[in-house]
Amino acid sequence: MSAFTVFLQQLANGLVLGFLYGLIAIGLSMIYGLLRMINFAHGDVLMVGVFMALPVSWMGAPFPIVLLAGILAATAVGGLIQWSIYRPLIRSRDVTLLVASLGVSLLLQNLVLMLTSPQPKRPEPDPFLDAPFQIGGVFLRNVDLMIVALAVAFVIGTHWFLQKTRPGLAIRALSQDLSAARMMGIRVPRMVFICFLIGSALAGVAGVFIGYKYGHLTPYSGFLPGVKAFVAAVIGGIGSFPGAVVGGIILGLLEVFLVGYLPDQLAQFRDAYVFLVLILVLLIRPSGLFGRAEFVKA
Amino acid sequence: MSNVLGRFATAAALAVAALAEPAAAQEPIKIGAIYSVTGSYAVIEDPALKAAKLAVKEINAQGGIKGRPIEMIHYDGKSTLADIANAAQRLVHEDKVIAIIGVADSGFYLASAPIAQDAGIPYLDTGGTVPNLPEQVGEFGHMMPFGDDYQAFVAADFALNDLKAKTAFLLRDADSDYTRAIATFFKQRYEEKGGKIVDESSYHTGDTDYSAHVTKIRSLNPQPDVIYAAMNPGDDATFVRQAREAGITVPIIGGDAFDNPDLVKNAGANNTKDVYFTTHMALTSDGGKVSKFIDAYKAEYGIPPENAFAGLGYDSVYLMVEAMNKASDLSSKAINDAIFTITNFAGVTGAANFSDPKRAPDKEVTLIAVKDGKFELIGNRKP
Amino acid sequence: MRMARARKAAVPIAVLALLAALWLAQTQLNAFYLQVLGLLGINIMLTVTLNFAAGYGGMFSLGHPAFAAIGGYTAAVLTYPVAMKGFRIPAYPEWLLQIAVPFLPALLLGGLAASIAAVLVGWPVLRLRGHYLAVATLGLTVIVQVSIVNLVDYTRGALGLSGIPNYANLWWIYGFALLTIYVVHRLVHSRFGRALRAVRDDYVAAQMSGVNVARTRLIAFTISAFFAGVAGGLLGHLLRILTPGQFSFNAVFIGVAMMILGGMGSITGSVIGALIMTILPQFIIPFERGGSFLGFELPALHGLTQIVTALILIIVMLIRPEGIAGSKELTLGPRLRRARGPSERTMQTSGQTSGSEVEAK
Repeated sequence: MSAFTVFLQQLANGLVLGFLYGLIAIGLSMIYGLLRMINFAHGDVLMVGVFMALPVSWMGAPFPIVLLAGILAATAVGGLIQWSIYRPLIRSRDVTLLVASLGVSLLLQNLVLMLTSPQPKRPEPDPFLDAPFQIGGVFLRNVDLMIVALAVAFVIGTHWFLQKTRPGLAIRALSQDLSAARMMGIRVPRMVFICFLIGSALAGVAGVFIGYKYGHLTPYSGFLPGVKAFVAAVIGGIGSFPGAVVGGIILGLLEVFLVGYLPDQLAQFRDAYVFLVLILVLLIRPSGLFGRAEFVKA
Repeated sequence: MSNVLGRFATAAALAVAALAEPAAAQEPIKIGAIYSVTGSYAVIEDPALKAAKLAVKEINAQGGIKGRPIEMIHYDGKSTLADIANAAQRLVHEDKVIAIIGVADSGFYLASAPIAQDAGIPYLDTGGTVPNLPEQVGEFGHMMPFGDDYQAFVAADFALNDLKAKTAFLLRDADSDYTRAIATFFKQRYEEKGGKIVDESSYHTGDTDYSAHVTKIRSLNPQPDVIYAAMNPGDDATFVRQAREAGITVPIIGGDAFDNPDLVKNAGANNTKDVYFTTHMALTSDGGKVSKFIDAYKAEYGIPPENAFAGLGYDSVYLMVEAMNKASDLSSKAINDAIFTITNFAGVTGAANFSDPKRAPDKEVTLIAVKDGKFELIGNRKP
Repeated sequence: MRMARARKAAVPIAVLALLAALWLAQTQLNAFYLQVLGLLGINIMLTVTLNFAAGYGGMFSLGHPAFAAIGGYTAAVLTYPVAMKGFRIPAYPEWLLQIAVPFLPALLLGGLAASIAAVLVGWPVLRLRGHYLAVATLGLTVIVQVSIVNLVDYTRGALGLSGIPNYANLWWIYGFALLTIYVVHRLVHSRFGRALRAVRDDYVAAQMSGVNVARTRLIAFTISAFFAGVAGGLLGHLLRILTPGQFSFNAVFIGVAMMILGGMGSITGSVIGALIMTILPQFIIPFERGGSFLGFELPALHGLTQIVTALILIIVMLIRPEGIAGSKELTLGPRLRRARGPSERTMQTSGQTSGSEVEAK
C-alpha cells in the first residue's frame, strides 16, 4: 500500500467514525443549546434503541425495517424520558438536569442488563451491508457508505427542518433566547419535546449502524459514544447544529489518525490527546468552531 | 412452674437437643463466591458464576461433602474495586465462609485476596492470569488458570514452529493488564526464539473501531507472517472481521478471549480462516468430561457456555470440593493444605497440578484452530 | 448567657461523642464494618471538598477523581515497602526506591501533589464557566487515568498497585474528614468565603468590589484538590490497592451524585449524600443474589443496587432538587450566620445576556 493510499484509507476510516459521532452529537448539542443540559443518558438511549431493534433483525427483517425499528424505539424511549423526567425539571438548575440524566443513564444500563444478559449481541448480519466496497486501495464496506450517506441525508433533513419549518424556526428562536421566544408565544415545552425526539431519533440511527458495523452490543455500549459525542459537540461548538457534525468528524479523524500515525508507545495515550485537544479548544476558542459568541468565560 | 413440669421441660429440651444433634451434620458448608455480574467484567464473570452454581448443584445432588450440602454465597463485584473488597470482607467476617472462589481479573484478585489471606481463608482465583498471583498474596492464595506466560509462550512457539511465521504484528488492548501481559510474554518468547516483531499497535477497552490498526497492518510491506491479537472478550470477532474484510489474509493468533461460540458467528464464517487461539479448554471438544459439562450447562441455562471462563468457574468449585474431601477436617487451614496436595486435578479446563505455592498451576494450554466455521483442537501443549 | 455557653459546649461534646463512637467501632465491629465505615469517611471527605469548590465556589469540577488519583498514587509510592518497590515500580529515581516514607508525610505530600496539579490545570482552565469547566475538568480525569494506565513502570498500570501497607484506620480517616469539614467550614465563614461566594454569584460585581477573581478561585480550587488528594491516599491505604479503574467516569458520577443528593452548598448535605450512597447499598446487596428472605423466594436481581441508586437520584431531583439538606446546615455551637448556598445560577453566569436561561428568575 502506498503511503498515499494509507492516508486515504485512514481518512475514510476517520470520516465514517466521525459521521457516527456526529449523528449522536447533534442530539446532544441541540438539547444543550436549548436547556443548558448535558444529557449523560443520550448514549444510553442509543443503546436501548438498537437493543429493541435487535429482535426485529433476528426475526429476519431487512435492514431498512430494522433501522426504522431502532429509530422508533430510540425516539419513543427518548421522548418518554423527556416527558416523565426532564420536563418536570425544565425550570431547574442545569445541575439538576445533569444529575437526573446520570440517574437515567444508570437506570437504563442496568434495566437492559437485567432484562438481557452481559453477553455481547449483534443484529442478524445483512449481506448487503457487509459487502465490501473498494475504491482504489481503500477498503470499505457498504455499511460505511450507508453511514455517511444517511448521516448526510439526516443532517440535510434536520437543517431543512430547522430553517424551513415553523417548529424548526421556533426551536432556533428558543435556543437564542428562551424568554423572548416564550413571549412571542412559542410553546416551550412542546418545542423541547420535539428537540428530544429528533435527537433521540438520530441517536437511534447511529445505534443501529453501530450494531451493524461493529457487531458488538452490550448494555454498556452506548455510554462511551455518548460521552465522546459530547466532546465532539463541544469542539464543534456546543449548541450549534453544524458544529456537532463537524465536531464529530474532527473527533473521528483525530482518533484514527493518532493511532495510525503515532508510534504505539505514544498512541496508547490516545484518549488523553483527544481531551487535551478539547481543553485547548475550550481555552483558545471556547465557543468551538461554529459556536455562537456565547459567554463561555466567566 | 411446678417441679414436675420443670423436669418435664428439661427432659423435653434434652430430647430435642438429642434429635438436633445429627441435624447439625446437615448444616451447609459455606463457600464464598465473588463474581461481577454487572459492569464491564460481567461478560467473563457471569458465565463463571453460572458454571460454579451448576457445579454446586451437581455436587449437592451427589450428597455434598461428607454428607453436608454446599451453600455458595455470591456477591456481585460490580466490576468495582471497592465493592469487590467489601464482598471479600463480608464473606470472611459476616458470612464466615470457609473458602472463597472468585474474580477473573488479576487486579480484582489482588484487591480482595489480602483480606482472605489475613483471615487464613483459602481463596481461589478463577480467571486472573498473572503467573505469580499466589506468591503475591501468600499461602492462602491460589489460582485456577495457567499463567499469561504459558499461554503466550505456547502461542509464540506455535507461530514459529507450526506456522513458520518469522515476523509478527502485535495488537493489544492497552488498558488491560492481561492483554499487555500476554503481548509482552509473546514478544519475549518470540524474539528469544528468533522471531521478529515488525510493529505493534494498541487499542483501548471499549473501542470497536479497529480500522486504524487494520490499515496500519495493511500498510506494512512486506506483510507480517502472523498477527498476535492480545484482546479482551468481545473484541476478537470484531477485529477478525474487520481485518479479513479489509483483505488481510495473514494468520491471526489470539488468546483465550477468542474462545467463545460467537467468534465465528460475529466475525463471519468466511473470515475466520486461519484464525487460531490458545485457551483453557476446548469448548467444542469431544472429550467426555468437557462434553458432559457443555451439555449440563445447556440443560441448565439453555445455551452452551459463553466462554472459557465458564469452565474455569466450574473447575474452581470442583477443586475446592476435592480439597475439602481430602482435608483432614473442614477447617480453612486444613482445606488450604489439602489444595497443595492436589497434583492431578482432572478438570474440564485440563489436568492441573496445584502443588506450587507461588505460581499458577502447571497446566496444559489448549490450542484451537478455526476451520470451516468450527473449532478444531490442534493439541494441548505446555511451553 | 447560659444558652450561649451551652451552645459553645456543643461542638466539643459532639466531637467527643464521635471519638467515643469511633473507639467503640474500632473495638467492637468486625473488619467488614470497619472497611465500610472507612469508605464512608473517605467519601465524606471527598464530597465535602468537592462541594467547597463546586457548591461554594461555583466551580463545577468533574476532575476531582484525578486529584484523588494523584494524591493516592503519590502517597502509595512513597510508603510502598522498599523490598517490592524495585521490581514493581522500577522507573523512579534510585533514592526514591530506597526509602519508605511514614504515613502522615506521605499523605500530605500526596495532597501537595494534587494541589500542584490543581494550580497547573486551574490557572488556565478556571476562567471557563459552568459546563465548559465541567468538560475541561472531565478531560483532566481522563488524562490522568490514561496516564496511570500507560505509565506502567511508575504505577503498575491497569493491574493496579497492590501491596500498599494497611496504614489507614478509622482514626486517620475520620481525623482527616473532620479536619476537612473544619477547614471548609472556617473558610466558608471567613472573608475569603464571602469573596468566594461573591465570585460565584456575580463575578463582575465581585471584581468591581476589589476581589481578585482568578486568585480567589484558584486558591479555593487548590485547597479543594489538596483534600481530594489526601482522601485518595487514605483510600489506597485502606484497600491496600489502587487501580486506574477506581478513578474513571464511575468515580466522577458517584462524587457528583453524593454532592447533589445531599445538597450543594451545605456541608451537612455532603455528609448526608455520602452516607446515603455509601451505606444504603450495603443493605440492598444481600438481596441481589436471590434466595429466600422471610419466607419469600426472590430471584437473583443483579444490578438491584444500581437501579435503586438511580431511582433515588431521579426521584430526589424531581421532588427535592436542592438536595436533601438543601443549603441548610446542621449547626452546633454558636449559630453563625448561615452561609448562603449556591443560587439558581451555579452553572450559568448570572447577569450575562448569554444564550437562554430556562427559568425566568
